[in-house]
Amino acid sequence: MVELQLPTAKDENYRYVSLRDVAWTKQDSTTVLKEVLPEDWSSIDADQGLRVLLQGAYAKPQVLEDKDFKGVQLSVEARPVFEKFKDDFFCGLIGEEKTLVVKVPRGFNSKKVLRLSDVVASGVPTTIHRCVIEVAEQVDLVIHNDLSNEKKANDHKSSFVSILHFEIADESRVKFFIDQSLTTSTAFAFRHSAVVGKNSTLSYWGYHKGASRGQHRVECIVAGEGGHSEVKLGVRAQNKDAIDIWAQNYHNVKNTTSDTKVWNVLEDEAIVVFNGNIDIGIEGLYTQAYQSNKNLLLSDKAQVHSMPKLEISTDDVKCSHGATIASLDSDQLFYLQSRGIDGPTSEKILVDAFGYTVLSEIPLGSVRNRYLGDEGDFL
Amino acid sequence: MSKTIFEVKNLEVSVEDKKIVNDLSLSIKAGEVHAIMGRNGSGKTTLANSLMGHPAYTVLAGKVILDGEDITECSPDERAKKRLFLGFQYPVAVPGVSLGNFLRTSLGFVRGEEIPKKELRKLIKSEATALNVPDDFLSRSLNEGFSGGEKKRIETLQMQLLQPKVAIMDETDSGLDIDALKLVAEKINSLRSPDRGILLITHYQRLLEYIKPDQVHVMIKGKIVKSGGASLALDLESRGYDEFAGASNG
Ligand SMILES: Nc1ncnc2c1ncn2[C@@H]1O[C@H](COP(=O)(O)OP(=O)(O)OP(=O)(O)O)[C@@H](O)[C@H]1O
Ligand SMILES: [Mg+2]
Repeated sequence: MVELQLPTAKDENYRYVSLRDVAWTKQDSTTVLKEVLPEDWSSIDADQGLRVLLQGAYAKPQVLEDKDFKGVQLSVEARPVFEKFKDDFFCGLIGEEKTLVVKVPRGFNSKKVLRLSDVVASGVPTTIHRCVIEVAEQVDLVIHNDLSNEKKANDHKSSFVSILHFEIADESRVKFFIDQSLTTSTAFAFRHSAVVGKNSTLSYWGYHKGASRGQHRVECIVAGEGGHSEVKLGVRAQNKDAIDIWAQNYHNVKNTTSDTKVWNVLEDEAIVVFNGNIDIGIEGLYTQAYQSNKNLLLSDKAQVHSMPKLEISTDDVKCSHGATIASLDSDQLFYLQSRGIDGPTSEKILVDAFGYTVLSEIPLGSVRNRYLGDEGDFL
Repeated sequence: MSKTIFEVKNLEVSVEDKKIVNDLSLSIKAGEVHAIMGRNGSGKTTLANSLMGHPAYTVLAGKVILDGEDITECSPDERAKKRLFLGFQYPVAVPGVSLGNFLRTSLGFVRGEEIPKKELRKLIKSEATALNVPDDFLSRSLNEGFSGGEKKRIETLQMQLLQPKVAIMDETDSGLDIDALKLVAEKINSLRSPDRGILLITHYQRLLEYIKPDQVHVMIKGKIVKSGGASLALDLESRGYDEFAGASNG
């Protein structure tokens, strides 16, 4: 049986300087950058990216006008930009060293999905995408960020950095899905963060498949009373993939809630590290914050390090965190097989089912079907 | 004389090093319905699971023969493809797999041919309706959150769709309300035909009023200690298992 492995000492590679500390202590950004990135990420030009994030998030975000900026219109006036994506009201192909600032005006309410489509180019050593999404009051918005180079040739080593910050004002709802299926020769680093205002909700979903190395960080500051953040992440790790997931939630005002769920499926010799943290400051009375991490191990050589953490500095809060590690359920397998479904297919069905909670919520049907086949649309 | 459609020869099964099924033999002729009755824990479900090839149950000795073919070494899916069916006493929940898609996948495998989606949907829906399984159940997760009786109707629906040569129904009647019991019994009866066999595992005479068994077997401690006609079930109902219990001690 596989056991939950907790690292005995903090691995230097996973040292983490939180965005909150940066913002609140106004540390010099260059110092931060050095500490944030492990050395072996040197091929990724995240230095620049992170600086832009900090500027974007904590200096006032600005629209960076640039004559070379191809194909993207920066005002969000519900106008399609690319013909081929005419179903979406906005999308961008974001090149290197550009920051896209999307300003969503007050009261904006779209039934359509805003799609950020990045093409991770193979052969290009590093693709960096930086985006600040400023959401005004009373907005209702669904954003889908499609990252994929799955269909591209597999022979280029490339890395991908996605830096994204949400500033969500009061009384708004934002649903965000980032969907990444990369080739095994790709590495990625995601730094995603959000400040959620009063009575606002951020629902953040992410799914990873492929990529030999990756780090995904999601940080939410639930900054306004009645604010809620919901994070669901799913990871499919194979071969020798090493994936590092961070999910942090900060609560330091009254009556805020958060719910974080991270599902990992590991095969072969894959390694996944999960760092979860719920941090409730002294002002965070009546916070309700939940966090869970479920892992499905399909191989004895796969490893999960799960480190859910709570830091609570006030009373009267409800919190829970936990991690489980399991392999495929033999009774479920038997049930499927007893209905004629062969072993490998039964296993695949169960693995897909494990991630279903994440995948079934992908806002775009076409993308959902990419992973789930016909699942969910039987009728 | 009709041929033997299902035969269990001197079967011995252990679970976690504990012998549960002991030198058990059974022979069902095509067209026949047999019933096994026995106390809780006597090994009925163990027998059913091992007949279907559950890997947790070790077959120490004996043979299972389906329509002349030795299937003792076959995997559960191979057995299903050879048209053996097990209706589970406790169908396991599989969250995240919709009943509809599961049925479709299962049918595809068992029939071994591509059946047009539309046709499949139609078939599944009409059989579901016939068993009072509402349409919206099909998009819910397999066996998750269904009531006991609903799960049994879903098991029966699968039997009906897969049209097995031999169906082993493990306490399919338990948990069903009066109307549902009739309906399920009707479906099992309709499966009854000169080229199929049915093995019912039950605690209740009531089911056997609807489905007249050709033979009733009493199972005590992993062994069949007595076999007889339909009237044996009535005897059991009035007298209990005590008088048979001694038979397995010797
Ligand atoms: N996986 C298992 N591990 C350990 N013991 C088991 C396992 N499966 C069955 N047993 C044991 O084998 C015996 C027979 O169980 P089984 O489920 O076959 O009984 P049954 O006749 O179907 O009973 P019921 O009428 O209650 O359904 C019981 O004592 C049970 O505890
Ligand atoms: Mg039983």
